[in-house]
Amino acid sequence: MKRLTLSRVAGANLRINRKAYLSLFLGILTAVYLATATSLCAWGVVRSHEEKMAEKVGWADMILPDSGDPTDAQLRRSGFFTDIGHITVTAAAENTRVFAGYYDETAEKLMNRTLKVGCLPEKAGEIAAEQSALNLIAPEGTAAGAVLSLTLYPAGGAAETRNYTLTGILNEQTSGLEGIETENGIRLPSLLFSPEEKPFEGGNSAVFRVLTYAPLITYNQVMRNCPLDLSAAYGVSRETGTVVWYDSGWDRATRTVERIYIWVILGAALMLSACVGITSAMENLLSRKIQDIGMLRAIGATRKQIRRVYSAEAWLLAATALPAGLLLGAATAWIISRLAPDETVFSLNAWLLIPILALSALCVFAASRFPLYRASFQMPIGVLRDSAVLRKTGMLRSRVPFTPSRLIAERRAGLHPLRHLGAAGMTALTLACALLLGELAMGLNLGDPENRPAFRIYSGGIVPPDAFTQMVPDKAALRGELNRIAGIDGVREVRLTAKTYANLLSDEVPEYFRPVSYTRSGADGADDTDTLEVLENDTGYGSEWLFYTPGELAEARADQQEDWRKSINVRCADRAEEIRAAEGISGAVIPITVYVIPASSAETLQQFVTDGSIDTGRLDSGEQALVYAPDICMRRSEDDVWEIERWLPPREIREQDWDKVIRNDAFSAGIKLSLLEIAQTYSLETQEYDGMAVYEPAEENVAYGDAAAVRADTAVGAVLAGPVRLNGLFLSGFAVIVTEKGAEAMGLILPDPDYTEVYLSGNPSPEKEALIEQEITRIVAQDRMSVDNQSKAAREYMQKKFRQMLLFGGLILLFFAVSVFMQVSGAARQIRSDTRTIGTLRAVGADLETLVGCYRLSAWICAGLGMILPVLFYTVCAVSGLRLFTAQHPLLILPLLAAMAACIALACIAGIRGRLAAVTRQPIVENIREL
Amino acid sequence: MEILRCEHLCKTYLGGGAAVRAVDDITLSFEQGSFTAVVGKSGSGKSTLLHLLSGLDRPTSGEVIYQENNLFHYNDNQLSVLRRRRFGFVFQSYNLVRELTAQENILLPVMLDKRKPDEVWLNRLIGMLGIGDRLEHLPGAMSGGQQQRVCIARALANKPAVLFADEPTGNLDGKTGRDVLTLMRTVSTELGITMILVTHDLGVAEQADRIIRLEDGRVAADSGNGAVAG
Repeated sequence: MKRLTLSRVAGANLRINRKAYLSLFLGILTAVYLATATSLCAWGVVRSHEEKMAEKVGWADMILPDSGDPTDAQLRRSGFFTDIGHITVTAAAENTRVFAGYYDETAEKLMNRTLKVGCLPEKAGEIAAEQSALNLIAPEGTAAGAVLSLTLYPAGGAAETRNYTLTGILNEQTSGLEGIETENGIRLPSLLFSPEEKPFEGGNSAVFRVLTYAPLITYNQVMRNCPLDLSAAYGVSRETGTVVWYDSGWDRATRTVERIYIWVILGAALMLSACVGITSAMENLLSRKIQDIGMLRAIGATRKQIRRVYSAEAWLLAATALPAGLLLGAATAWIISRLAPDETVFSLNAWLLIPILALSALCVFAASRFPLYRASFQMPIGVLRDSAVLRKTGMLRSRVPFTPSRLIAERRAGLHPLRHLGAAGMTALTLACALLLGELAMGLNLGDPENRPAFRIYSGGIVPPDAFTQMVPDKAALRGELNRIAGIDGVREVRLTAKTYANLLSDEVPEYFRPVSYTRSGADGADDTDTLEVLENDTGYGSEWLFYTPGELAEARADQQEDWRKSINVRCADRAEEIRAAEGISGAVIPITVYVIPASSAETLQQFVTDGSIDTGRLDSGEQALVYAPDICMRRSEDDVWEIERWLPPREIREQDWDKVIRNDAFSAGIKLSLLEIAQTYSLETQEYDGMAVYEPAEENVAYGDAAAVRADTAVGAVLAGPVRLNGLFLSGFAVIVTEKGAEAMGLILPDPDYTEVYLSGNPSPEKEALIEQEITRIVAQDRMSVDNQSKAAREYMQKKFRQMLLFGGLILLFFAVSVFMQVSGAARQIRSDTRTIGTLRAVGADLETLVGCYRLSAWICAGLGMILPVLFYTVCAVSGLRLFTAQHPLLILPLLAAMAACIALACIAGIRGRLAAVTRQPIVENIREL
Repeated sequence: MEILRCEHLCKTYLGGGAAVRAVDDITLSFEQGSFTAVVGKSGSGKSTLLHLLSGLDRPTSGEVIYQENNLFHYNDNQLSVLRRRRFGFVFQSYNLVRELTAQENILLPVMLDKRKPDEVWLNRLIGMLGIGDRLEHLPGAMSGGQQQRVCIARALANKPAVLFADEPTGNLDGKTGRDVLTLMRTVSTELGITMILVTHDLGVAEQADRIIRLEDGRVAADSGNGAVAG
């Protein structure tokens, strides 16, 4: 005879109650399926990003520029690296910083050079190039298959012109790895030869080594722990697709979580729903087995044994559901990867089985535990417990008069206070999703597409030698290039913003410019005295020296050897003295920033005017200029940190809210401004690094005698304050703003624009926009400029936000449905076991409304408990001062959330009413007879 | 004066492939203030008849007329109002609401009707039934006899016009059963309540003014129309 084991009991149970177990099986299958699908999708997102980044920067982890030390053998022996590849750079193209070279086999694999068109060069005389490099070295429209005649400068050798067949266009990679260069300024190649290419005569090559880390090694670990000298090495992050100087495993993990958080939230939400399904199915199953459980208890089974019998059933079902769930989940992930190929790729990894199994097991375990516990604690003497509980809570005292339905509902709630926790949690989750959706919706910056630049072009300026001087090119190189953009079909307007450093001539230095010292608490608890300067001049020179007395200047001169700050102040004071002497100025020379903007940009500043008015005619004639002179507010926070606010409009500043307010009392509309521009011209010329030709500006070594001094007198047309944004950044200190024409009228010498906004006409299609972008890229294809496609960024931002909103909207619906389902199915179970009470109540004259009243309270309790979360959220926001969008509108959001909670409750009540109506359609005697 | 009558009342149950006529073409009339006992063997249809007369069940055919109104023309709400104002029901298995105390169970029909309780009447009822010391107890904490008395008090709390009782003494010992029955009789007489009682105990039935004996769903004898056989 076979031994009767608990597993056999469980197995027999399964066979006998096939139908009853189907819903439990489906619940578990759903859990496994969701665990598989969401894990695979999340992994697919990680892989997709990795592959995108690998296309951008390759699979290398570290790149070591031309250096023999440490040797390959030392690197291998260190244990920190696995693969080592070599990139040999042999030459540079004439008049550009485009370098040419070739890879060895490992480097070819690690750099992952995919091609947009064609193939990699295989023999001598063939070459492949990145499009950006090709733009600089070949005529427009050069395509794969073309023959190029290139003059190349080998390191230390003579220039040589050779003919090459262009075999393919490489993906852009050197731009992602910008910054990696040898001591001599040699960069990674954007032109690739075949390794068989004939060496250049007398040329020396630079060799870059590309390395990959051993498993679990990160950049930070290498830099901290590797005993080899790797100070010249560059880390490459496949997270950001850039060169990095700090890259910890923790940061990478955080960024990965940021990338997949939507899948994590979605997965968690769906798994939670699956858990609810399992719990519900399990409760349903166990409620049919109360008698069996009683019998098992009667014959001496312990609670633990009972739990084991029924949990063994759940695990048996889980084992059956596993392969089907895995298969379905994988199929779903595959379909999603096909539907959204940019977001996620389908990728299987054996290690993923661990989280999938763990998640599924956790789901089954957690969801089945509660009903199992409840079932094992079934007691025949429950009524004694009921009396005791009600008496203890004072709920047993008879009340006359009373509303029967309410009294019954209250007593039930008192007897089973935890019964509604699950459903209340679901309601809270629904409301949390609604809060997040609100946060996303209120945070949406839709803007006005007409007034949003489609492209932003940044061009690096040349750093001036001192605070008083402006570097201007000897020809309007960038200005001319950028103005050509206005001629592109579809471009409505190009706004150039240039920033020049000029000097304000004044009898006295206004008190408004005086720096304010304040002490901030450092991270280590130590106080750190800092200086806040109204007169910000972003050359990095302070304005402290302006307020030196002769005695203080002498003291600073004496201390300048020890104190670098004082040495700068002394240099500024001396330089100012030199300028005063040369120009015959008796008053103060105050270095300031002057923004040169188009008149159309000036018109947009109207909202920031605090005094005077903007008259573009007078601005263009040079009669007037605008002055940005903000009031600056300072406040010491409770944790002893200074909070500084520079962008409040003056009328919104309340003195009592701040510890100190620096007011503009020096500049008002109508006052005269006397400017002095000291312009040092520079020329772009060819420099040579280690024999290779590169395109760089001349050395910025300026003697005052060489500079042109321009005097210009104008008047303040309007004073501005508040969050003014001119060159893509908010202004933070004093500045003078003039129009292009005004600057010309004043005779100022204009520097290169450092910031350009391109506006398109109408709302062009993405294809048209891509063509415009291609044109702009071609025009600005110079070393010092970069283009940001703002339209694309805005489109992607909106798409991302809408996707997130859709997700949260979907989650709200899902949680709403689950919450209602949980409550209605719970009530349905209750109604089933209450049939006799319902019959009794009907027999003594209760109508449907009274019966609904007995169950209505639980729905409102769930809604009320769910509302605790948003109330808690607003309390935390109020206490901590969190400035979330939703936190700023409690009077709008809280009623909305309350309405949503009420909707859930009403939906539940409607469901309960439906169930009860079905019961009351039966004759009363049926209700009573059922038991 | 007639208060309740049924005409050609039939109730057929379908089950096991054959139709069972639990009540088969019964026509009866009940006078106001009368005390009628319905007797018969198990399965004779007496409980079914009581359920049909009280509107707890719907007949397959036939009518139940209460004060010249057909019960089955009432909608659910009208029936509910009728049950809580004009009918009282004593169940064999008490059917008390387990979350309510004895006092609350007694007051249930009054409260459902949103009326002020007649305290003098209720106190008298409670005193007569001897459950004054059990009022704050939940039904689960009371004995069967006590629960049955609470059930009777609940049925009489609203001073109904008709009191239906299904084996009210079935679960009680002999003395308690007799006491309960005497009480019901006393109260009914005092208030002019029409009482229809189902029992298989002839000793109990003998206290009634009229005895109706059912056999196979039909009236085998009706003392209102002559002597009851057997």
